[in-house]
Amino acid sequence: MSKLYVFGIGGTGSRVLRSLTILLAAGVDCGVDTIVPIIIDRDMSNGDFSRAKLLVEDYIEVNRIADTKGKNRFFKTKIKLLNNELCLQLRDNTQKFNEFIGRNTMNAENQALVDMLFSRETLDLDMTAGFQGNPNIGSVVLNQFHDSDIFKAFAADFRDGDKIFIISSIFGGTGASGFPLLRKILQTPNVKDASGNVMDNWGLVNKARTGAISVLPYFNVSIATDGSLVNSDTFVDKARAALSYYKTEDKKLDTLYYIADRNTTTYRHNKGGDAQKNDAHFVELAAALAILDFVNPDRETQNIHRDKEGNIDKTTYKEFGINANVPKIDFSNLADETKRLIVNPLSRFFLFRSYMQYVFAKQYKHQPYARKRFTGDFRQTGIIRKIESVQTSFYDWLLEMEKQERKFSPFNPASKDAFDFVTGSTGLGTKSSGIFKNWAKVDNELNRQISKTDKSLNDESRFLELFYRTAESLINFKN
Amino acid sequence: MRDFFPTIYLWFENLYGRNLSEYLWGFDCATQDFSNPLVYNQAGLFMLFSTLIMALLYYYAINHPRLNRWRHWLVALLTTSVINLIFAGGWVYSDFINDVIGDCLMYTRDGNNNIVSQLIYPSNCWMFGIANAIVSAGFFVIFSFICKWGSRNCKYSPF
Repeated sequence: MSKLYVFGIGGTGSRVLRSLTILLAAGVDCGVDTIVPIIIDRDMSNGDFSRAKLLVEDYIEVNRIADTKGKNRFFKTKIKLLNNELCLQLRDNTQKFNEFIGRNTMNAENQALVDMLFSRETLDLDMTAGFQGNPNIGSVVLNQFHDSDIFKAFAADFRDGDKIFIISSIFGGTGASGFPLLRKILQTPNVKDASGNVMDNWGLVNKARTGAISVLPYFNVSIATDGSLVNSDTFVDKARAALSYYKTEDKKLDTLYYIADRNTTTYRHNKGGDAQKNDAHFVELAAALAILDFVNPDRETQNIHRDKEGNIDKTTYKEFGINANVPKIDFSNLADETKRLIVNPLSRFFLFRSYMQYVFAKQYKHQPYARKRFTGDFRQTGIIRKIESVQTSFYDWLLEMEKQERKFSPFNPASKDAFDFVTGSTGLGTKSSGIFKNWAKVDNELNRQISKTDKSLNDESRFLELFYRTAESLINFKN
Repeated sequence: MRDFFPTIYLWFENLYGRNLSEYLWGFDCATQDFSNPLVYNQAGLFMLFSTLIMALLYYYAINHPRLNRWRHWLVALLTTSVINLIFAGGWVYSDFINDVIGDCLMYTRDGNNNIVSQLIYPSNCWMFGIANAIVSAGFFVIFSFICKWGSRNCKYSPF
């Protein structure tokens, strides 16, 4: 029962977690049994975080019935929250940076020093909406992870063999400052909690295999009109400065992934809060794939280089690429290994979602697979609603990625056809054949597969098992 | 066993008349005995097999998830019945126009051998076809309840 602790720092952390959760819902292979996500963000009201939180909570509910001991891979990987919380809450809750550092209580000399180091705007910055692209204050404020209850719970929960992965962006405030700080704390011996006691299992945490992804600029924001300090003109310079600092991280991480995209979309500027809800982007999906790459047991010799004492011998650096620099990516533009990983799961989940959306209501009363099992109020039960809620998130996620300057458009989202929804030339060609056309073929398969599912399962588990078996039988892309 | 089909058809004898029924029993005017082939059994066997084949076709060959409502099953039943109506009615009507049916069953004649009245009309032949259709519908129902459990898509058709 190995676990991966995923620390997602800032808005990018939340968005990558959203992509990862959708990939897991679709049944993408994950090399660990359990993912434990921890979001570090001072701006807990931001839309990216709220959306990721809702999705993760729905996923966890569905995962409870997904372990069918059968073939099912939808929602198969467990996601666990520490203390039932997704966000690592910092104890300090001051609003302004100058209050946080206690500028008003300083003597005149220290105040003068502070004024020299930080601009007036920075000192007066309202940090409730995050650090707004200021890693220099983020690195000061975030230096209190270990005081939080979740961090304590993380240490207590940690077991030998568990791994750690850190997601952060390099061009903003929270991620850029939080990543090196967090890495440093995780590898500092004998870190103590707020009560002054050494954290449980800290030796294991220090030695844990650790990977990270640093997301370089992949979007811009429009010019701020609300006095925010976020300015996308500085993204590249900030990234460059941070990268030069990250050189010092060599041999401190097992694997460090980098990703960026120069074909950027310009988002409407938001200071933070609920309005900060960026559309999903292919870069976030690729970042989520980095997490899966890191825990892939087949990649261990490639990703991990440790000496006999267990110290990091060499940091592996990896980047993600596509086959061609195209503005619209579909499955055919992905490398073979990426195709092998995601084409089948995403296509199968899309088929499942489309069936629920367009067919289930019309057919459940007539098809043998549903008889006395999935009828009446079955669809209104909590778990099925959660499944459909995740499917809606999946669909929205696909639509959002299509809005970007560099689109990821593997499916035709408007398609109501059972077998003609994959765009591009993937060779994924399960066509209607024989006397069964379109959704009738799916119903025929559902009616065939129901007898192969375990009768001892409860209806919800059997439903998931049935749809996975059916989708697997109908969609089987072989690269 | 020889009387199985005749017994069933006799429930509908009023539809097609006693004289045609006698012919179907195999009555021979020459010998005044039931020594001709038993048409009831020939028609019954065709009806039985055609109905079974139709039920098997519906439940196993067509076996379609979009054709598993009760109305689709009803169409299959009606199709089977129409086939049996045409077959049985046409067969007997063919015997009727080819004078295969014995004269003593067809007509009442006076002492000069003049026809006093006709006892079997074409309508009687087609009424037998209708009787055959009704019987085939009954068997289709029975076969449906036997066959449906093994069908993937029509297991609960008609209900």
